[in-house]
Amino acid sequence: MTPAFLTRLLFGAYALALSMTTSALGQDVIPLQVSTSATDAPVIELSLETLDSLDQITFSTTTIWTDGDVQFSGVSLKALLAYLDVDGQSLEMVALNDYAVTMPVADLEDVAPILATRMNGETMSVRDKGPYWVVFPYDSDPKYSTETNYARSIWQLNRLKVVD
Amino acid sequence: MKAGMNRYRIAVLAGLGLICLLLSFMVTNLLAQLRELSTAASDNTQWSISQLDTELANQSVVLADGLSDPRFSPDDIQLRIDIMISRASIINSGSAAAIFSQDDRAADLFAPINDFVDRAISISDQPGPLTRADLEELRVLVQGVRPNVRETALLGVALGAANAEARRAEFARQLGRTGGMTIGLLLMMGGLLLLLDRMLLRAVKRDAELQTSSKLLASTVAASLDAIVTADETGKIIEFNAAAEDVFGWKRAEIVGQTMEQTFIPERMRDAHHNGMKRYLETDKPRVVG
Repeated sequence: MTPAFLTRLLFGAYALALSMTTSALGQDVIPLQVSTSATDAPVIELSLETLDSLDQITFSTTTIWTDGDVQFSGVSLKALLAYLDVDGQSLEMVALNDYAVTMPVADLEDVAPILATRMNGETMSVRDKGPYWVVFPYDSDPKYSTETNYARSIWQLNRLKVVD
Repeated sequence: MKAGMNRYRIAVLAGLGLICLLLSFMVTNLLAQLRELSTAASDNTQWSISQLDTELANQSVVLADGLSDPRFSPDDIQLRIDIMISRASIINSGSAAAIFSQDDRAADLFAPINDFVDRAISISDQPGPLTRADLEELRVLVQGVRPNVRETALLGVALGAANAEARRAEFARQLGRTGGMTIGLLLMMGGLLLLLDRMLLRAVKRDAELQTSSKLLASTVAASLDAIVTADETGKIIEFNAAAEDVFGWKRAEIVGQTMEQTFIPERMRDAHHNGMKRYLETDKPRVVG
């Protein structure tokens, strides 16, 4: 057995173990589908692992749908679109139950809203507003506590579409 | 004269203070109103509550479709059940719960809904995919709870409307207060302007009186046969009449602006004059000067 073969074997075992852990972790979390208005563009599926590999933003806030302070963490929507390198005027967000809301891409700030992947450190099940929830740091500034932003705070989100 | 003037100043300063106070009241009031308006969450809460009814209707259809389709997808139905369960939890937390906590009927309506949710969770959490029997049981449960959910949605609308009305009434009251303050402010400014006008008229009148008396004095001095020299406290000559020109030999034009010491007071008497003037200015008691 050559050292190179050993290394490959070890690496293979590591990769296998890694894929088993990640699949166990992401087992219940529905992937996020991102599409653009371009007809030939494929639908991009983003797994929880991919979302976790991006810069994470965490904040605590109260919301009008929950009790007490809740900690959210996830990816800034603006950063996510930059990561996917998609261009467009507006962002259509659609939930599992087909609730949909559109917001201008220009309204996305660096840190708000975020695509929350976790609430109080745990991934969210569909029963608890998962897989993803678009949230703003409502308590940090009154400008986030508006009816428009509440309407944009879409939960059970699983589809994003960037349109011109 | 002086007491009257002080009264005016006190009135003006008090008025200004009141204006500042009213203005700060108005500004804080308006800011509070603006915040209240921009951060209201009533629309979204209303929507969330009424959506529960819709979600149950959807659930009913999904179950009926599943039962009529021999190759139904248990996963799809499972997902719809999860969505419905998440909807049902809305009434138990956040501002929706706050709205319902105002009404006694809500607790009675919620008990069967929460029981239904518990039952739905236990059916969907059973090991293995959903069976036809599960779907049938769920359909019966959904049918049973729908009237309660409908009533909850209607109660939510009624309570939400009552809340919105109370908020509007409060807003109207605040607007009324702000309007009242504005009117008060305008009235006060009008009053101050009237006061200012009166003071101006009095000043004009007094000015005219002063001019008349000073003209009278000037002509009296000019016409006097006695030599009259008027000087200020530093000894600078400010008036020198015709008789004085004759007596001292200085022309009015050349002596006005100079001091008495520099001009017509004889050298030997200058010290005495200087001391006398100084004493008079310090003690206000005339001896030589009079």
